[in-house]
Amino acid sequence: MLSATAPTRVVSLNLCTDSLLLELAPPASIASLTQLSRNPALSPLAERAAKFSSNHGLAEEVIALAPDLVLAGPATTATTNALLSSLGVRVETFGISASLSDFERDFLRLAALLERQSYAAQLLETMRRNLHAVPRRDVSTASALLVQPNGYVPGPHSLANDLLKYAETNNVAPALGVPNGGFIALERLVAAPPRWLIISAIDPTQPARAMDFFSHPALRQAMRESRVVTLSDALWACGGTYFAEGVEQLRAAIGGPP
Amino acid sequence: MKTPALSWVLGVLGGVLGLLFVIALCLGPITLTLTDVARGVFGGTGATHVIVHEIRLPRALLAILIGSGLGMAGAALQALLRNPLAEPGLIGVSAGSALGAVVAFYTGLSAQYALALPLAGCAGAMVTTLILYAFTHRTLDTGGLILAGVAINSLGGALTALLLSLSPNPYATYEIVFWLMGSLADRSNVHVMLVAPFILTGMGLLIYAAPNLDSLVLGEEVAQSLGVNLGRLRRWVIVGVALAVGPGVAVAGIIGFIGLLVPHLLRPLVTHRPTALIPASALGGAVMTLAADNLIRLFADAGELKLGVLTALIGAPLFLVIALRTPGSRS
Repeated sequence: MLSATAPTRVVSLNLCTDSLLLELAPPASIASLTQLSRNPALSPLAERAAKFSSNHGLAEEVIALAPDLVLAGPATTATTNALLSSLGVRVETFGISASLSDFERDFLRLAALLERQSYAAQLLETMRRNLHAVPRRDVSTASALLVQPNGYVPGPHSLANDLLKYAETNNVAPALGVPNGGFIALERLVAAPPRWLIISAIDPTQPARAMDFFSHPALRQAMRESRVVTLSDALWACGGTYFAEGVEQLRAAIGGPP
Repeated sequence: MKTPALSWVLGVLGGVLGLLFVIALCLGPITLTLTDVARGVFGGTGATHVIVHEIRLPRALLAILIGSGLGMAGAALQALLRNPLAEPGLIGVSAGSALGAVVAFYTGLSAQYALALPLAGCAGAMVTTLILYAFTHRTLDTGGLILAGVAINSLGGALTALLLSLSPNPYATYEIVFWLMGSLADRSNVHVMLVAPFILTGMGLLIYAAPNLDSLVLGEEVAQSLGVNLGRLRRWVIVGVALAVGPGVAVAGIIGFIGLLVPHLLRPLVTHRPTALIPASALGGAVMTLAADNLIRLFADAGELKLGVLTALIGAPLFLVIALRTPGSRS
């Protein structure tokens, strides 16, 4: 049911707002999503995203679509956002979710803009149920480190940190010299390997130097001391109710046989 | 002007290099004693061994290999082109190597066949050196060479950026900075083994060519009258420079200005004779590169500050000074 006042032509210029919009909006009201969302390595909703027309974050494309609401990140398309606002287009910006509650807040904020509050509440309720339905295993908050390409490790203020928390592990990034998220020195990882090492990378088949970190002989040595799990970062890079699926996958990997 | 004996200069540089090498092995976010380090280099097991042998050692060795290759290539190019401003980074040789390496790396070729990376770096260096030589052979004027270098540098950088922007891996775009401003962070012994044979061969060729370059300093006619085969000499030097520079760029990106600064600083000490300057510049390049990398590691816990940024910060102002003092560079 479309309300009479809800936006009917919504354009998203950011991978994460794409995801929010795909989950919340009636398909008929989505005018365009970013090209990025069609990549299954970047978005768990890629298949759904492919059904909509796509944009590259350019003002011209947006104007041509005559949207009544534009969703964007605060920084990546800042000049486009400003240009669109000055042309009288309604632009709403959403920051990066630094926690699960951040995501829930953004989710409800967009739901209010789309007049889909009760639907959003239902989706969140299901997500929370899934988060708690996953059987709690006796892993007694084992130390864990989630490592991305180039050795980037998310800090305590990140969705990844909540992912580790819900999988009943303890993010050791701050103890390894990275208090707020950043690049970890390989030496520190070798000197104190965590019990669980979670390699979280996008599609590794496309070469990039960023991936060299994972094949460094010193990391391989550290990996012998740890148990290694790989997890697609698409499940937590943007907030989505699929976060529960990421937690479930991580818990299954950690709870499984050593 | 009386200059100190070459052996004396080489001895001092070697001593400093040894000291910097020990510092490099002791430096890092994990504090290790000198005993730990010694044990880690020569064997042992566990984290200390991995840290010293797999992380710090390859980084220090690469700094020495790449730095000596750059220093030597700078001295040789300056002699061949008879131009004190010739430097692999400034005249586009490094940019050509980076482009070659980018092609080999991001197409996945080097993942299939590891040697493709250093070979592509050499090929890129060789092509750019040949283009430059073709240009400067006709006009042996300092400004002309630098202008041709500026153009080749920009073209190489732009093509590198273009290829990386077209890569389907979203990380590739961020790696433009790495290729243009190199870094030794988290390189491994695999990279050392991959580049050492090439760089050492290149350096051997340049040492071998040095006596003939000595004659070339007196002018092409004089050199020929002394029995120097100019065509052969050019080929030796061009191949030597490509081997000494290309593989290093292929694994660590472009580290600029070493090949300019080192021969310039050493010339008053060992004279401008290539037989003296080329070996001294190899040691000097290793000293400067290792010192710069140690400095970076002193301040950055994990690789964020790039070595190429530091060498450019120090090198660019000095380049300006040298360029203004060089006759014929102002027209």
